[in-house]
Amino acid sequence: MSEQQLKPDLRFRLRRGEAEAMRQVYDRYADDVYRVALRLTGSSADAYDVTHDVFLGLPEAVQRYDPERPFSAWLQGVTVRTAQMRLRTARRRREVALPALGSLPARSHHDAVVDRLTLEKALDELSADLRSVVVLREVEGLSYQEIADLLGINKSAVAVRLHRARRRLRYILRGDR
Amino acid sequence: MRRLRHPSWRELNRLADDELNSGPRRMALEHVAGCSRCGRRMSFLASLREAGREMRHPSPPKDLLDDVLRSRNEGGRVILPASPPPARSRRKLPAAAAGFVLAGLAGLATILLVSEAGAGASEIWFDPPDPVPGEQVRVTYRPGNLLADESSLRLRVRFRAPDSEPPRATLGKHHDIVLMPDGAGRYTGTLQLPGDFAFGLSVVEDMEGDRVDDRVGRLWSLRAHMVDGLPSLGALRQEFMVLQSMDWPAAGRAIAEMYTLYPDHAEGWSLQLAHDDVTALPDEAAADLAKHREIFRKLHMQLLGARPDVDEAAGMARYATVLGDEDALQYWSERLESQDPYHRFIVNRRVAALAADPEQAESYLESLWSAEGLRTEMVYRRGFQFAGRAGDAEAVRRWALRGLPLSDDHIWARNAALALVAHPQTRARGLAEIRRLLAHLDEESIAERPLHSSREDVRLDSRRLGRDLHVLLGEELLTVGEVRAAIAELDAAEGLGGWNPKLYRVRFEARLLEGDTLAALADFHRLDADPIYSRQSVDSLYRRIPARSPGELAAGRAKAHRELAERLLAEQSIPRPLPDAELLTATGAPRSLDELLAKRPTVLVFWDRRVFESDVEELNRAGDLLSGGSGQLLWVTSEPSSRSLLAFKRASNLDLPSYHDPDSNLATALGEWRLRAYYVIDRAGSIRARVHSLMEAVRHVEVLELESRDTVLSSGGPDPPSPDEMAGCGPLDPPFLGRSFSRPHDSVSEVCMRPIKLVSRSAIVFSLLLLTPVTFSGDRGFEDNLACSREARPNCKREIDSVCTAGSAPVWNYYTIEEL
Repeated sequence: MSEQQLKPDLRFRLRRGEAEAMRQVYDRYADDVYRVALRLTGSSADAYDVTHDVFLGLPEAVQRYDPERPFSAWLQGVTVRTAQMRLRTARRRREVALPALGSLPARSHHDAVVDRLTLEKALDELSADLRSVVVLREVEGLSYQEIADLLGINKSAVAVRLHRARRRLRYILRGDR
Repeated sequence: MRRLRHPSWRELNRLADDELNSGPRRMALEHVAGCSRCGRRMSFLASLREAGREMRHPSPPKDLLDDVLRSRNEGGRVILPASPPPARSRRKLPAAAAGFVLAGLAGLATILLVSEAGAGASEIWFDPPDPVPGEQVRVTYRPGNLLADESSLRLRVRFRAPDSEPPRATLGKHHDIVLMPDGAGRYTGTLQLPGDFAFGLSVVEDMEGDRVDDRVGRLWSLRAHMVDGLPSLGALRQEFMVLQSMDWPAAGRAIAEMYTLYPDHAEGWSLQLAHDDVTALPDEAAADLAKHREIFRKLHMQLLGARPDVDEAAGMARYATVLGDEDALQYWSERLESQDPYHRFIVNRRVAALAADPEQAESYLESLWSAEGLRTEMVYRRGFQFAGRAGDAEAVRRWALRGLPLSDDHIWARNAALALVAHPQTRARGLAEIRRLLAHLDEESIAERPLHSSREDVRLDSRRLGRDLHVLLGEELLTVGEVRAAIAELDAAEGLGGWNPKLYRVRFEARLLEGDTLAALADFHRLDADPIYSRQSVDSLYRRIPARSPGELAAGRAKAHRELAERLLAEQSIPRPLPDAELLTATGAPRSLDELLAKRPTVLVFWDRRVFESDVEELNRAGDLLSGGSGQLLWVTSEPSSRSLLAFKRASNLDLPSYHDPDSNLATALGEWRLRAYYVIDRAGSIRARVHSLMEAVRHVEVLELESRDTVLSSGGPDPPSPDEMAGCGPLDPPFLGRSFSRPHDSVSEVCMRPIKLVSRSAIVFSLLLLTPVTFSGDRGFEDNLACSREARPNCKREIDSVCTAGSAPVWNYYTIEEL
């Protein structure tokens, strides 16, 4: 059995909601879940809640996990969809008020090199759908097809959302809004 | 040459993501290399990726896991989007636009649906997928290979209402619609949901009912939803009721949805507690109980100041029952009774309280029957049961007459009719009901058949049920002294094929009463030849037949053996391959099915803990019977291995290894979604039969083994002893003939067969003539008898062997091997 798959005994114990099994899975995957949640929501409070919900519901959800497939990929999908649901249905809490757009570092009207901090702030300006594809592509490094599978959209829709998101980022970072 | 036109933003994006085809990619690269504007854009895209990769990777706060575990302990649950949403749009269009768009996109939609479902699999879509009761639902069916190219198809549905009782003979009200082809390889129709719809299950079949697509036994289900899109509590309740008799883990998931979506309703919590009561270990159960007491307390406080409806009050009363909280039970029962004095919970509780005094219980039910609007099937069933327990034959017949027009369950109807047959005044009515039932079993009456049954299934089931009905009727008639009529019924049962020891037993009595001992002897031989019929019973019957010589007895048994084999193998003998599958042992180690079968004849049993407890004795007995020979019992369960399952096995004295099919791969490959199923697998690993009871499967294996020996050892060997050789031996004593040996079902013939089994394993042991110490260890009586016979009458060695084998090839072939 591949290391990427959840071992049957661990899966069964997880299904039963055994604390030790949850602890093992948490130790192995919590960083990944939290990272994706944070990137998608842009808020550590929301990321906390998404991670909390993912692990809280995992014993029931794991019954629908296909043991032939890598567990990390499945869990990533669950995290992405949970985060999206949160972004669409809940009010996003901002722990730190974003700087007004005008206070982003002034950019020339030319395309410029983007740094990490600027990107983190600019991502908050995107809608949930656009933000998701950018994070999955640029941060998580997934292919178009992997993103399509995760989000339940087709590959062309991924391409369209991605180029729209990047154009929007370009305008934001250039001050062209 | 450098490309003049600037690539579009989209093209640059695809170039940066390496998603452009080679031609456009080469041209774009050539352009970017010489164009500063496009070069800057590419640099931006590259820096975006670089910044993305550099984004910090924070860890979650340290107390997050503790928070999660605390939430779970407090009963917190979340339903996660574990599967991606389907990749198709569900936006609604204005009606006029929708017509054009649907017409134009029909072909494209088909392609999308096919790719979504996967090749070869059939699928159904309900639109809307989350209907409310009374709504019209558009059904689209994409057939697999089974039902492709039909001019029309039929969707058969069973509807359940929110308060439907647990499913018994059928799953609920029956409804059909015709599905017509849409020209794109799919079939469509419109299903009108009833106003009290809660849950539905369906199959698709051809118009003749010969081929049924039941989604490999799972059926297609549809839930009622509330206007806010959540599945209704009634839908989840009914889903649980259906699943608990089909798939124990899935039933557990339905419970989880109930208490997650309706945490303020006691029903889901009480079901969870009852579920955990079976599956949890004692220490876990104690922790669960504490958790549930707290939940109950919160709900109780919450509802005190409110006005709970009947459902909520009943849920609290049930929760209090499962918790064992007598005070709370009393309180909520009274509140429920004040709202609905004849609520099912109240009636059941009252009946349970009166159960020790069946007359009083029957009298209470009689009063209910007299009340307006309470002539329900539940009251009838309880009344019929308690009248029987009270031994009041008149009351039994009274309830039977009430129930016949009310119940659609053929087992209850059969019992009621048989109760009427037992009395001269009602016999004609009872017989008429039995005849009606027999006619109803006919293959023409297919409309009400179970969802997964084809017409052929109905025909086979009808024969089996018809046989049982004739035998029961024969038994009743014999009890009231109508011997000839009883024999006629029993002969009719025999005419329907199959092998039925009960029939032979009843007819044995009837024929002795009639004075036809020769005919009775034939039934005696059948019972003697049956590999699992109780040897004590055969002993007792032996004493009631006229003395026969060993040769006659052996010949009669051998003939009955052949009949047994013919009848069993003629009915379900078409071998088909067993699918490859991997099961998990109790420790989680994967084992292939081939490895587990190990070329041994096997009874493969699909059972789950939910229906297990009362049948453990039978399972152990079957395991003993099979392991006494070369066969084995393989218990497969969809439940994962757990400490609680092991504890359950220990507590139940269930001495049988379990093999786990947690994802139901094997069950699905065999089309088994219901829990109990029995497969007979031969040594070659082929399925030889799927039978209806465990002991039937054991009998089948034994017969296959006898047949196999006949085939393997079919030639050579000396002739059976002549009458001259037999002279002077005289008949053996009955105790010798019918002794109980090391296996419960050992008979002389089977004991004698044992050396044949050993021959194939080791020729060395055949240095002894009869292998007595090996084969008959622990049975001194048999050895003494054998030794005595040998010493006192040398000829009787031959005689004993002839008893074992005369007329049956294996024993004489045994001599052949021995002489080699």
